[in-house]
Amino acid sequence: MNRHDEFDLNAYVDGELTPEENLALLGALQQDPELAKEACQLNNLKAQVKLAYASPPGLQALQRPQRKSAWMAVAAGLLMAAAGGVGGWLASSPMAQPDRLVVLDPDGRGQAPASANSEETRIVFHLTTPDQAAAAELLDDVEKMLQAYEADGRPLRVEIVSNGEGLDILRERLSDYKERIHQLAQRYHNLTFVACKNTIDRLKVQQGIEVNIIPDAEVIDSGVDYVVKRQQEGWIYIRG
Amino acid sequence: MRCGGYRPLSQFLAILLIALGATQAQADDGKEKIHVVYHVNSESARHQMAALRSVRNHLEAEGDGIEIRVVLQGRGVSMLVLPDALLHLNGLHQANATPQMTALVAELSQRGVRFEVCANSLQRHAIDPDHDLYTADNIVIVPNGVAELARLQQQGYLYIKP
Repeated sequence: MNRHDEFDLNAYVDGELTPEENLALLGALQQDPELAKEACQLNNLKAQVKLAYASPPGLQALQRPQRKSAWMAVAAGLLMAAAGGVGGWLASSPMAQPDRLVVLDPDGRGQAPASANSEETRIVFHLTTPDQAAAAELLDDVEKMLQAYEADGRPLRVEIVSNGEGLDILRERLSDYKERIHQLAQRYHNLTFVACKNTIDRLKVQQGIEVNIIPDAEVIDSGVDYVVKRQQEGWIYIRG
Repeated sequence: MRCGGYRPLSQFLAILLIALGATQAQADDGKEKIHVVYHVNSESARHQMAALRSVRNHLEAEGDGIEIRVVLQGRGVSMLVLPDALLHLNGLHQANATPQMTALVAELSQRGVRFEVCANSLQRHAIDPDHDLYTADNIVIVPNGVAELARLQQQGYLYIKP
């Protein structure tokens, strides 16, 4: 395969190619699904970085300026005010809990440390790829987390949002994990599966497919809007 | 591959970081660092390699002002699985700890990037952490990769999924 290297792809994603180069690369993208996928991933990464840096991270609000070598000192066992990863920059939102405390583990081991009050941990998972096996592995880890939180009496809410190719796992005819999802949804009431109506509509319009979503999932208008909204509300975001 | 092939993204990052530098990208001299966690759950060596190169670009753009962790979760753990282990793995088809991959991992770990491997995923795929995994400084095992991603974000880490 006559591959374009990452320089070209990066330049393409950054919009730095000349019109001729752009055209040539677009042609190559049409010929080569792998390359197209890569370009898509790069674009996605760029968008994430942009989003990440557009929002002042929580740490900025959490660390006190006078604390020298703050990270090591904090990691050594100090308590630090933590409004949760994205919480810090949501100070103006009603969700923000600036007084919440997190114990930092120096080795990075151990799981989500207890917060000083009993505020709920909220995580939105975003499934966008057709790889159901990978999504199922994510579900395994999510289930272990649900178990652990339940055992410790810590409140946790999890939403699993599927859109685009990630919708397959919630489709009646295509899901390889209907039974597993049903069991999880029955067992954990703090776990919600969410399907994207935009994707459902698009499949119908573009491919004439009448999509049936498994009864364990709820349907919302737009998966992407939904996960963005959740992040703005202070939810932790993890992509499948 | 042309030399300096990643310049556009690095530049893009560099510009962003410089723009933000005054408020948050601060280095060891008592200033704050940016904390970033990369999530890798793809089994593909190609995808993993690309992720690590993004990490390297990020590191080069930011220098001392950044702390990066890479959480290997699900089949992303294959990044550090030695090829000899392929014979007994369960449901994992790639063991990507080739010399090319481990050279990059070693370089990054020496530069302070911390690799966190999900123990659930190791167990699921019958990977023996004592024998099947590439080891280096800054490679640690965490009980649950997903929980670790949540925990780090609660601490203020920015989340990036390449």
